[in-house]
Amino acid sequence: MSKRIDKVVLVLSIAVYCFVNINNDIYCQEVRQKKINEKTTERLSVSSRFTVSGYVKDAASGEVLIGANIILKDTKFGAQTNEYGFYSLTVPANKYTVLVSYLGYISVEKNIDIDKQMQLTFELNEVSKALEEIVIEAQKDNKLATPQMSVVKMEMAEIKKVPQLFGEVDVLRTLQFMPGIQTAGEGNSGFSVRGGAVDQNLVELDEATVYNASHLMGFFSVFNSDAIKDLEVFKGGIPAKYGGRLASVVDIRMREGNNRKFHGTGGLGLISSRLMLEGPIVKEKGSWMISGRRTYADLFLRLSADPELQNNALYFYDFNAKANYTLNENNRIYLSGYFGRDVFKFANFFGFDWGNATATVRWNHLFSDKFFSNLTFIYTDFDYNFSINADESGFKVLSGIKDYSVKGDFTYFLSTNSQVHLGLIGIYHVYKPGQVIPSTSSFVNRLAMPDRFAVESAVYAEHEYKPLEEVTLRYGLRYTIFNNIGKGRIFLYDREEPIGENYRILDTVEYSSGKIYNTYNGLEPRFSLSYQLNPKHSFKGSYMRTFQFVQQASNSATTLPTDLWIPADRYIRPQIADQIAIGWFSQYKKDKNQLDISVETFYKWMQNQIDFKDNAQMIFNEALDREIRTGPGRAYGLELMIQKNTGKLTGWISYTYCRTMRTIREINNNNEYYAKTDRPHNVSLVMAYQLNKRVNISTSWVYLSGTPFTVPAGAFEYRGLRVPYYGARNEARLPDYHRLDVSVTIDGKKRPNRRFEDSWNISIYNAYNRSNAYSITFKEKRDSNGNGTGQFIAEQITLFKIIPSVTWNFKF
Amino acid sequence: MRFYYVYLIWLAVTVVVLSGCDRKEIDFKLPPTDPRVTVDCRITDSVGYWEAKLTLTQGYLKQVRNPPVEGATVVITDDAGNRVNLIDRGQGVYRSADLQQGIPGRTYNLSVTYQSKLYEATTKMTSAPVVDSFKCNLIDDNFGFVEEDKIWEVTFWTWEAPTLGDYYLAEYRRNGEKITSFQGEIIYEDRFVNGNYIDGKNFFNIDKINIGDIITIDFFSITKAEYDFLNAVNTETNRDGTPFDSPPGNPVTNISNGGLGFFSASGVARLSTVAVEP
Repeated sequence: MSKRIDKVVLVLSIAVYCFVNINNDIYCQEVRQKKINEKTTERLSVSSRFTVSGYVKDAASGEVLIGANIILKDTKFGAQTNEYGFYSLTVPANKYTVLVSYLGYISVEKNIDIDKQMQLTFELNEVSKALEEIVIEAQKDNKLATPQMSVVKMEMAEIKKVPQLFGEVDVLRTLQFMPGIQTAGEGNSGFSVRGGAVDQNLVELDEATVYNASHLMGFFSVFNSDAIKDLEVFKGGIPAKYGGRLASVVDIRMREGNNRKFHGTGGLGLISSRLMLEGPIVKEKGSWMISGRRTYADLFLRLSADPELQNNALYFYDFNAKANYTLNENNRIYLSGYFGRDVFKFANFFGFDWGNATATVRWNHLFSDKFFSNLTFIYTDFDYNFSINADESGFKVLSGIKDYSVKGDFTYFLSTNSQVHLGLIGIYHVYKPGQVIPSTSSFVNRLAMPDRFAVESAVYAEHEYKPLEEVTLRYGLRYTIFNNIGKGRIFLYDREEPIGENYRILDTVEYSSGKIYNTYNGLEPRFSLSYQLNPKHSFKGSYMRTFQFVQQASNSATTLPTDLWIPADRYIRPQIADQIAIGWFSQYKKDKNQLDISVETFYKWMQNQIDFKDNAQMIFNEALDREIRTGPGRAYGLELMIQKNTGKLTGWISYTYCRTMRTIREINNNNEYYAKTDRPHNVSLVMAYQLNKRVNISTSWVYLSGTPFTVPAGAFEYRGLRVPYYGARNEARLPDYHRLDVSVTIDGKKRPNRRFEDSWNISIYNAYNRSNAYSITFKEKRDSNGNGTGQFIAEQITLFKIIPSVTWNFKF
Repeated sequence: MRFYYVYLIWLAVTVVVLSGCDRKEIDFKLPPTDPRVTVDCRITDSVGYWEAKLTLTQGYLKQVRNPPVEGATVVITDDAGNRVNLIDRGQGVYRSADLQQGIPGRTYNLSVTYQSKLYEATTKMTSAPVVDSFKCNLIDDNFGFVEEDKIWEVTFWTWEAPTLGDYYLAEYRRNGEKITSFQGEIIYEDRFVNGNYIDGKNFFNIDKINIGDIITIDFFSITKAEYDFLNAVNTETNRDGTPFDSPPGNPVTNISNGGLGFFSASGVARLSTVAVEP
C-alpha cells in the first residue's frame, strides 16, 4: 500500500515542482487571468493596474484582525488579511466600493478611486450585543471560496461562551467540541485529531512549539484565556508552511495589546485568578500586553498552623507578555513570550515541578506593497525536575527538550488571483532524556543519559491561484531534512529492524560534536482545491503528506510531564501520513440569520506508527529504541457540522464518525487493532443564547463512544497473587460517555461614565451528574485497611461528577 | 470569613473529586478463558525441599482459587547430569522426596508434562548476595499527615556488588511466617546505586510487627528476566484505575509452550534481627 502511495506522491511532487518552477506557466496563467477579468468586469481599462495594500484593525484596540475579508463590490476581486492583518490587492484602475468584513465586527463600506498605488488601513468596530441583530446582513464571508478545508477557527469571545470545567476558560478543551477533534480522556487537555495520537498535534503559541500544553496532569491547558487572541486548527489540507507533526496544527496567537488606551481585564475564579494589562508604548505605533494567572489552593495551606502542611505546595502559574512596535510603514517588530510552571511539593520528601518557556521575535518587513516578509526567531523549552529528599541524602532528576528556530516566510501577491508563499525553516533540537543528580551524601550514583541533538530544516513553496472565477487552487511542496547530529552516542543492534525481545547491542558508536550521523529527508506535497458552484455551495478537496520526526513515550493513561520526547534516529524511522479529504460546504441566509453547513470525509494512511512493547521501560533507558514497536496505521471518518454564528442564538451541532487502527509488529499478534483514540461516534452540541443585554445562557452537550481498552484474558496464580494476563489489544470498550454543561453569564450594570465593567459566570459541569467511566480496573477488593479480601471485582472510576463553579470577571 | 469556609469546603470536595474517590463496583463480562498451566517454582543454594506449585488459569473475576494441576510429571535436571523428580503431593504442590541444594553457576532445567504437553524452563543459578546487616526500627511516619502513625523501617548496611546489573528479591518473615501485607514482591535493582556502600538506608517499610518479633529476611539474587517478571507482576496486581496507571502488559514468563509463571534458581542470603524501638 505504502509503495503505491509513494509513487503517487512522487508523481504529484513532480507535477507540483514543474508547476512552481516553470515561470512561463505562471505567465500564461496570468495572461489567461487577465482575459477572464476583462470578460467579467466591463468597465475595466486593461492599461494600468495598481496595488492597494494595508491592514485591517480593531477600532477600539488597534489590534490587527486576522482573516478579515476585503471585497471590491460588484467585481470578483477580493483579499484576506494574513496572520499579521496585512492584505494586498492588485486591480485595474477604476472606481470601486470596498467592503471590509470580519466576523463579530460591523462591516465597513467605502468608495475609493484606485488610480495609484495606495495604502489603506481599515478599522472595524466590534458588534455590541444590542447591535448584533442588525449587522448580519453585511457579513460576507469567502469561506466557500477559500481552498482551505478541514480548518477550525475560534475567537476567544466564542470560546468564553462555552461552559467550562471549574469555570476555567480553556482553549484546548473547548476545541474538543469541534468535529474531528476528540478528547484524550475526561478533563484532559490532550486531544486526538482525525484518529491521530496526542503527540501528533503541533501546538504553537505565537509560532513557538509548546511541547507540554497541560497543567495539573492534563486537567488544564497552559493557555491563559486573557492572553489569547484567537486560534486556528488545521486537521487536513495543511498549508506547506507548517510541518513537523502528522495530524494537525493548532496555531494559537496571543493578543498584541491595545495601542490606543491602557486597559485591563481579569477574573477571580475558584481555581485561579487572572490579570491582564495592556496599553500603548507610543500611541498608534506600538503596544504591550502582560498577563498572569496563578492557582491558589496552596495559599490556604500556608495559613495552616501545622508547619508540615505549610511546607507543601501544589500550584501552577503562567505569564504571557507581548509587545509590538511599528518602526515605519514597512517594518514592524513583535516580541512575545510565555513562561509557566507547575509546582508540586510534599514537605522535603518529594518535589516535582515542570513547565514551558517560549520566546518569539518577529520582524515583518514589506519589500513592496506586493511582497510581504516575516523573519522569526523562536526559542522553546520544556523541562521537569523531580527531587526526592531535597536535603543532603536525596537526589534529583532533570529532563527536558529545547528548540532554537529561525524562520523566514515570504508572500508575494502576484495579482488578485495569485499569491506565492515561500519560506525557510531551521530548528535546532536539544533532547535531554534525563540525568540523576545525587545530593552530597546520597547513596545514589550520578547518572546521565547523553543529550541528543538534531537539526530539522525545511523549505517550502506554495501557490494560491484562482484560474477560473469559481475555482481556487493551492498547491505547494515542502522539502524537509532531519539530521541527527553529534555529540551523540548510538547503539548498533544485531538486526536492522528494532524488533524482537532479545536483540543485542553489538556496538556503541560515539560521534563528535556537530557530526551528522543520520539523515532523513523527503518531499511533502500539499494540495487543496475549491470549486464554488454558486454563492451558496462549494466543493473542496485536498491531499497532504506530513512527516514527524519526534514522538512522545507515554507510560500512563494521561499526559504526564514525564512523558519523554524521542527523536527519530537510525532505528526509529520518521512517521509519515498521507491524507485525502473531500468536503461540501454550504451557506444559507435567511433574514438576519446565517447557517454554515459542512460535510467532510477523509482517509488517512500512516506509516511507522509507534507503540510500546509490554512493560516498556522508558525512564533512564538509553536503548529506548528496543522498547518501541512500529507499524502502519490508518484512519477514516466523516464530519458533519451545522454552525450558526449570528443572531441571538449562536452555536453549532457536530457529528463525527471516525475509526482509527494500527498494525504494529509484535503487538496483538501482529493483527490490526483499534487505537486508543478510536471513538467512532462523537456528537457535540453547543448553544449560546443572549437572553437580554445583560444575560447570556450557554449549554453544551457531548456524546462519545467509549474508549477501547485491554481487559484480562484470564488470571494466573503466582506466590499466592492473582495476576491478570492479557489477550487481544483494546478488545473491550468503556461505556459511552455523555455530559451536559450549562453556564450563565450576567454582566454588571453599565454606567456611562465609568470604564469599569464586570460580569459573573456561574457554570455547572456534568449537570445531570452522570457517572462517566474514566477507567475500569480489574482488581482485588480491599477492606477499609487496604488489605485484600480475596474477592475480585471490576471497578469503575468516575473523575468528575457534577461540579458547580463561579467566576467573577472584570475589565477596565 | 464565611467565604473562606465555603471555599475550604469546596476545595475539599475538589480534592475528593480529583483523587478519583468516586469508585464503584460494576458488572463487566470478560471474554472466556482457556485454562493454561502456570508454574511457580524457585530452587535455591540453601538446603531444602524443592517445590513447584502448578495451577491452571481461570477468568479474572472467578471468586475461587485457581484450580490445581493434578497428575503432572515434574522433573528438575542440571547440567551436571543430576535429576530430581518432584512428586505430586496434591493441591498442585509437587515436592522432592529428599532435601536438595542447588549450586550457583549450574544450569537447571524444569520440565512439566501435563496432559501429554511438555512445558519447560531453563535457568542458571545465581550466587548469593552479600548483606552485612540489617535492622528493623519503629519510626514516626514522616509524611506528617497522621501524627500518631508509626511504621517499621528496614535499614541495610552493605556494599552493593561492583558490577552493574544485579537484581534482588527480599522475602520477610515474622517469627517464621511470611509477611504479606505488601501487595506484591519486594524487589530491588542496582541501576542507581551500583557499587555503593549502602549505609543504613531505608528501602522498605513494613507494618504488623510487634516489638520483640524475630524478623527474618531472605535476600535472593535474581536474574534480570525474573526482575522484569516480578516487576510486571507487581504492576499488574496493583492497578488502581488512576491516570497514572501504566498500560497493561503481560509479565514475560520463562516457561515454554504457552505456560505461565516462572522457574528460578537463586542464591540466597538469610539474616535475622529482633524488632526494637530505637
